Amino acid sequence: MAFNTEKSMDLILQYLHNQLNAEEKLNFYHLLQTDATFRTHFAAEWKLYKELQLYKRKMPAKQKEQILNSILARAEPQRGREKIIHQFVQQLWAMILPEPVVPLIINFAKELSVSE
Amino acid sequence: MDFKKLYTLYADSVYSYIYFKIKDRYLAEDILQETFLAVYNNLNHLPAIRSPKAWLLAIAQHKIADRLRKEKNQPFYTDSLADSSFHATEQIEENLFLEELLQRLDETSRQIIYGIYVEQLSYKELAAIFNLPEGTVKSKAYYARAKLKRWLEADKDGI
Repeated sequence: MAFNTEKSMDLILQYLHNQLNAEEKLNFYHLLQTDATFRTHFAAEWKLYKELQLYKRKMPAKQKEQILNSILARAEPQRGREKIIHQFVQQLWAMILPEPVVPLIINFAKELSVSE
Repeated sequence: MDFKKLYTLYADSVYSYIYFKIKDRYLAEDILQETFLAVYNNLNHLPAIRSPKAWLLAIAQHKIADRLRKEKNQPFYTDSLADSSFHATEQIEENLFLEELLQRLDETSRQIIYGIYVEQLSYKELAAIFNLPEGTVKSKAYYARAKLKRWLEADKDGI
């Protein structure tokens, strides 16, 4: 099978991303054994892949937890404020408008906030 | 998926991505917090998201841009980047030569390469992150990969 460079690179990428099924893998290994150009492409891709793996970073568990706690501490009061404002606005609408209109207004406001 | 689970699964990936772009550990931690804070406030969108990782990285991408825009004119930002003691130590651990080659690529191509090889993202996911057509991502990836391999090969041959 003749493979152009772009096709070869895509196939190798699929292999590196573990996206080939068993049959495709067999074909891939066969290509590696029989096609010298493909083998050269693979060697270059593999080198790049291995070297770029060095950029993967893992935070220490303690640091990760501290950041999570900090996020939650910042997020919760914000969420609390939002709830209070939401309840206040709902009560305000209920006081101003006749009963059957209120659910319609609330739904409309919800739709608006989703589309934002 | 709840927020804590999402954080546990993806915090390292998001942190790596931010650090790859800005090369400052403290700023990266800060932007990580801002990213997940935004995620927390938008958790209702999660069920409709196909790739949580791509979604998180897109948010991180916006947060990085926001932060860099805000700090552009502040002297401490320039100073922190000019302070090479931390960066030097960190970069020694990495492949300095590859770093140099990556710097020769344009910003988007560099991040596409990172997304492909480090985070194993698809062209589709990368297109969503960078708000680019999938074809553009694919062609940028193709040329960037070809360039990097050529440069690496040239180095091996001592050119």
